[in-house]
Amino acid sequence: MTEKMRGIWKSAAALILAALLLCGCGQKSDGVDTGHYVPADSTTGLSNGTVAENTRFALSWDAAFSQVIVTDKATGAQYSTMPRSATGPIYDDEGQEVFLSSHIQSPLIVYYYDATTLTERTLLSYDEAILAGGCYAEPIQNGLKVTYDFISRSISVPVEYKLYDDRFELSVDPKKITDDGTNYVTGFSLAPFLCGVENDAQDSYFFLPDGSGTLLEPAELDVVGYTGELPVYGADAATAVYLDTSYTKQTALPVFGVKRSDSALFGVITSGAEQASVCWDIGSETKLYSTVYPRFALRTADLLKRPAHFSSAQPRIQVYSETISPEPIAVSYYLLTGDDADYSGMATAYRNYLLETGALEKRETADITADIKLLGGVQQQTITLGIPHTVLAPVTTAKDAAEIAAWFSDAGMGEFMLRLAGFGQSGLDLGAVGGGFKFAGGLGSKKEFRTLAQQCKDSGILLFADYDIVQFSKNGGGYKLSRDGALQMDGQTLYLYGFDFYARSRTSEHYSLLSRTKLSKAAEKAARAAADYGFSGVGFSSLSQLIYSDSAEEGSEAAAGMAALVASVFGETGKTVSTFSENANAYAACASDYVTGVPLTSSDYRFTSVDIPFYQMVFHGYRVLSGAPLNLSADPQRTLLSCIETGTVPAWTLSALPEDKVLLTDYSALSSSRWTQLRDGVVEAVKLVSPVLERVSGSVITRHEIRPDGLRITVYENGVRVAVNPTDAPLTLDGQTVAAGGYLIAEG
Amino acid sequence: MKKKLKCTACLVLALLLTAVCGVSVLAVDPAQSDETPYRTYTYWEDSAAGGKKAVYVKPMYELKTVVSALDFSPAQPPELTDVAVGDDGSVYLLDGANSAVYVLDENYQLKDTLDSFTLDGEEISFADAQGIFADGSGMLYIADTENARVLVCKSTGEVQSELGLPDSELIPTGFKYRPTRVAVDSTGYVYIACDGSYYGAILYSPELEFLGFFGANSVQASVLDLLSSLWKRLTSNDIKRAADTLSLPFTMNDLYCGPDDFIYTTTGSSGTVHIQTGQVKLFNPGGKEVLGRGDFNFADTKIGLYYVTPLVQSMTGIAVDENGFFYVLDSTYGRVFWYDADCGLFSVFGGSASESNQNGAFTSPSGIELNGTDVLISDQKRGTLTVFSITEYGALVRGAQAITLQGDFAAAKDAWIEALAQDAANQMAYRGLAKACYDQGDNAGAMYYAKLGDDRETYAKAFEVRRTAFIERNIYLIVLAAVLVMIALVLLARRLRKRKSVEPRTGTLRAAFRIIPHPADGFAELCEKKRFSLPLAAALLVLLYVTTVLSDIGSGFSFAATDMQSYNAFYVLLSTVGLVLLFVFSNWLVCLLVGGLGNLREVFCVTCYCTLPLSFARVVRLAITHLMTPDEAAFLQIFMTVCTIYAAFLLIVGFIRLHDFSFGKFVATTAFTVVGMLILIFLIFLVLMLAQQVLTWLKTLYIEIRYR
Repeated sequence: MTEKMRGIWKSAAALILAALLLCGCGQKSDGVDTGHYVPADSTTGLSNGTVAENTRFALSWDAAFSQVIVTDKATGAQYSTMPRSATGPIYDDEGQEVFLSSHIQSPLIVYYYDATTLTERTLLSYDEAILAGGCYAEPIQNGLKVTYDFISRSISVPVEYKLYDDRFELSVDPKKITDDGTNYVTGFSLAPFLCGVENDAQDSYFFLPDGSGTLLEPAELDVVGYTGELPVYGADAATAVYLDTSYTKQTALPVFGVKRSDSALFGVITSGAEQASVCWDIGSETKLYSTVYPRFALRTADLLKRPAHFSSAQPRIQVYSETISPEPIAVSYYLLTGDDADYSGMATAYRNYLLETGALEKRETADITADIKLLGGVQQQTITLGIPHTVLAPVTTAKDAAEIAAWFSDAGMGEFMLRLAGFGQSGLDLGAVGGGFKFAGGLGSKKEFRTLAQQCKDSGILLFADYDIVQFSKNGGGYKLSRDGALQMDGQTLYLYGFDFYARSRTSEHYSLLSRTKLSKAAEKAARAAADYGFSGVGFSSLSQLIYSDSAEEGSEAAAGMAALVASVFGETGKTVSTFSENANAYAACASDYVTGVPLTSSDYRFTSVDIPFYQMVFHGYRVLSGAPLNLSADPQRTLLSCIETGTVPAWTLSALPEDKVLLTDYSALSSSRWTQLRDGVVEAVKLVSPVLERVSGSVITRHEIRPDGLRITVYENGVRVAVNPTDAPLTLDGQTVAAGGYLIAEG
Repeated sequence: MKKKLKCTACLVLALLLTAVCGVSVLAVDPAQSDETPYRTYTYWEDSAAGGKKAVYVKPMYELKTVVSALDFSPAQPPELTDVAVGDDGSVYLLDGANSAVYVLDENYQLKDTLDSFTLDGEEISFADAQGIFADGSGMLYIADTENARVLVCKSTGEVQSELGLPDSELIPTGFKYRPTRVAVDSTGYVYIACDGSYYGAILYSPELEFLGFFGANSVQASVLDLLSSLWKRLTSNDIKRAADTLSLPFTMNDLYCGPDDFIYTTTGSSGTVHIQTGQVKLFNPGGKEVLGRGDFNFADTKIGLYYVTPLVQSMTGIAVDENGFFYVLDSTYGRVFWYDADCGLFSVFGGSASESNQNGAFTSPSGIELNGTDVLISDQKRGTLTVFSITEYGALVRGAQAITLQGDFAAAKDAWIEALAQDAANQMAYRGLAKACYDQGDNAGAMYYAKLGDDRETYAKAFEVRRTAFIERNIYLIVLAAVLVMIALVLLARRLRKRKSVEPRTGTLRAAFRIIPHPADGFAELCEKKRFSLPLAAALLVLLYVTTVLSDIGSGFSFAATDMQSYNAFYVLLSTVGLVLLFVFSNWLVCLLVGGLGNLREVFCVTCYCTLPLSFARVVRLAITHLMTPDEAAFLQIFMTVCTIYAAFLLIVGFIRLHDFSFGKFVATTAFTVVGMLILIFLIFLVLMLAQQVLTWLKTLYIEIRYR
């Protein structure tokens, strides 16, 4: 071989090596790699007794059952990782001792991915750690650290229990979780029976943050019982499964609780809420106890179609990210007693928590009488010379909007909110990010929109533009679908699909979610565009209710860190213009000036007893809230009553759709939104609600009560009481009659 | 010029691609109502266009309450298999697992539990009882399925009669009697649906004497099935015949006695992954099917998937109100389809079989019943009764449609206007308003609403009246205009004849048009004098394409039979220009082999010239559809057929002349031409697929490189 040839070979080898190195080492290490199992320190041991205490609580360790107990010193109320009444023998009606399920005795349930079966499996800490001798407790400052070592699976999870002045906290630092890298931890449930009560307990209920909020009562059902879970802030939008045939409300608040006769325990997920689900487990005859608890996902999960010739019976295979989010997981528990031991006390506790942490503060916002959302345009397929193409069909133009604003203003509606939705380049359908950050020419010229903005300013109308800066299906606005979309676990651009409800299958049209790293910039663009038009502010409907993981951002496994990101986006935007959020998760509601589309009902899960306005109880007085559109409601009267009940501003979705035009789109709201048909009803409803809104504006809800006869009473801190009667019969409050379907304002 | 052409081509391609890509997904959740866990929708029907489009509508039913049988403390987990409502408003819930009937009052509160039944003083129990019926006299009929009997008992639980398998020659040997549903008409006739019975429902007289079978489904057979059957008869022997499968009719799985004692039945899933039709049947008391909607699909139009498993709709329950409006339960999807007496769909509500934990959705819906306007659904696995109540809007639409179907169109007008104010996607309202306007003599209004509601029938009627009125008003002007046009035509013809200007220098145009009145002479002249004009032929081909498109998209509303949502002129281009080019090329190749005289240019010209009658027919059709109603223009189809036959005749004459073939040789070469066309299509697809695979490979390669 000549020298020259040898040189060529050397260069080629060097190039190949470099390429291989680039391929192999290019993988970014985003989160924590748990694959280095470290057995817990078996020398640590703790005997029975109090481990930590302060003026309010005492934290003790029950070595016999390896359980943690928190005692309220003032009342003696005890909450333990295992219900205290279950520590002794339990007998059934026939006097036979009941074998207790390991679930009740497990302070921790770990979920791991079994590499042999390619499925997620469950480990109960009682069976796999406590009985196997793998549970070690050691005192730490103000608390206790318990390490659960699942020796048979080489998994170790340390949990810290700490006391604070007004609460106690359970936390897990994901960086300290270890596994052997084969059976890796995918998530865990923390203290599943801390909120447990007997199935036949009286005067007890669980609070679930489903929609506006709902109560679930313990019950004796059957062997299996009734379980379910609510993904806090919604499911990770990056992992759609396209199977829904019913619709659930958003779980917007990271809270849950239990009322147990004269005391209540209220849990707030203070860290890692995006990864959390609130689970319930009621009525099982084998468990004997009903409960509500948080479950956390540590990894991004996705369901993939089974590759051809892959040896598995499953049609879909669950896969998980290689790393876990480093974000600490923490749940604070507030022990409520006396008059506070109910959902009103829970709402107060959560509001106080938000105030203390600085997440929520009073803002100078206008008192609006109505929230009117105008629909801009929709994509329609049309035919020109036989050639089909898609055009933006105008539904409401800038001129129409000006006419609508003027009409309502002249009708004496006072100060109200006018929101423009679907005025971007692709209308209500997905298109470029933020609709290209400019209004579609077919809906009005820039001059017309500026005139509209000026008109609104002069009339005291708050004019907002709604931008979808998360979901996009086309290039535009400075963003490219293939370049700026969020990334999947495998590093490829994430593509999601529409869902055909009728056929219960996904459609062929795809879209992506904007990379989380680019959200701030997109929001900035939207704010600039709105300011340029002279609008009062902007809103980010999709951003305020969607969470998703994005492999382009470090530590975003299982959508971790989304809340802080969105809060900062809203915060930054709010420095230049006013903001609104829609159907907002807690972090977005706190960070925006106005919250629209707040839930008025729950998803109505089985066995739930009653809907409560928990969301409004937390935010009313601190944020201006508007409800679901009355004109789209199955029962507008009841929806209006719900608004009156909680001082929520009534809302409508309107359009200037011509009467000679029928648009058969998937956007059903269009057909029920013709403003000319609805305007008189709007004015009438506003007149009905205004007296209540005026009396309770800016005032915090201190209590809420649902009387057995159905009368719903809301008490505000300024002493105003509003009673609404959703029943079919007249009811009385303090000697005054509340007509069926009517309301009453009372003082004191 | 080239640049312009390129631009145009790019534009057309882009438009076509846009059409293929379709409309993008919605930016916002389209949920209509905040309160319901399901979305209410309906199907817009356009019978002329032959399509149904699913459209979300304002909820017509909402959840009222859910009653759980668990609250009644049953010994076993309850399995509510059916629900019935008595004349006094009492609701009877059949618990098949506990051999019990729960009696609820009109507010759905437990009034009584019947868990002890006696027959001749002896206590009996059910075994997987599937059906219950409550008649006007307070008697309960319970289909005790596994015990093969129907119990007729008092509301105290005392069994009066037991209807077992009748001892009759009419009962086939080996008949397995598993009664699942019972219905009793106002005169006391008892109808019993049996699981696995292909013969229909078992009919008992009011005296409980077996009368025979009632309302059997029939086997639907296609032409292919008949041919296959004939072939088997000719070729099979006894052994083969014995081993052959027999096509049996599907069994009815629910029946309901509606107004005038007409019996409504439903037929469930056929077990195949196909959209079924004719799931609902209506029998008069004589047993004759009178609904006549055997080809109508009463369920959703698409089959969905659960991961990879197809979810086929299965209509397993039916309930009918006093107006003949019926509610059909799809147990696969847990949805209720609410139809009027004319099978017009009000809306679809409910949902989520098996998946959802919400109230208003189901796990295994088992029975459906009405209590006034309340819709009651029993859920077997959950052991619940879900009650839906009609919304204000639903009541408005229901009332308006009831009046409309009674023929009092004008009386329903205000209600329809109100309904449209609340939901502009209500096709029924547009149709009702169209009829109301027509009834009141407002034909312009009728046409306006009929067009919005895709009601071609009412549109045509109103159009006819308006046109007649127009003609009556302007008869003198019309006659005058007609005379003037005729005079102008005569003058023009004379002038043209004098100047002979119709014939250009080459005479190609005259020669081309001469083939229409004189095919033989015309083609002879064309071939002998070689007066073929390629531009003219191309122009005629383009004319065919343009007139086809115009005919498709520009026809009068009463005639329009094109679904504009899916229409694409590109496919018309393929079926006109593409087909002609394919035929020309294939024919030229074939004729070249067998000594045909025509060259490619001539074959193309002859073929294109022969399309002239087709283009003419389309133009005439286009004009007529704007002047006449479908009833008046019945001859139009005949005219179109005649023109097509004439075009084929021209083609035969043209090719015989061109290639100098005999008729027999023409037939043979034409047959080979068709074969050649198929081969060409195959080759084109082959090349396209290959290209697609190469592109996919390149794309994968690009992704892999990018991923690295």
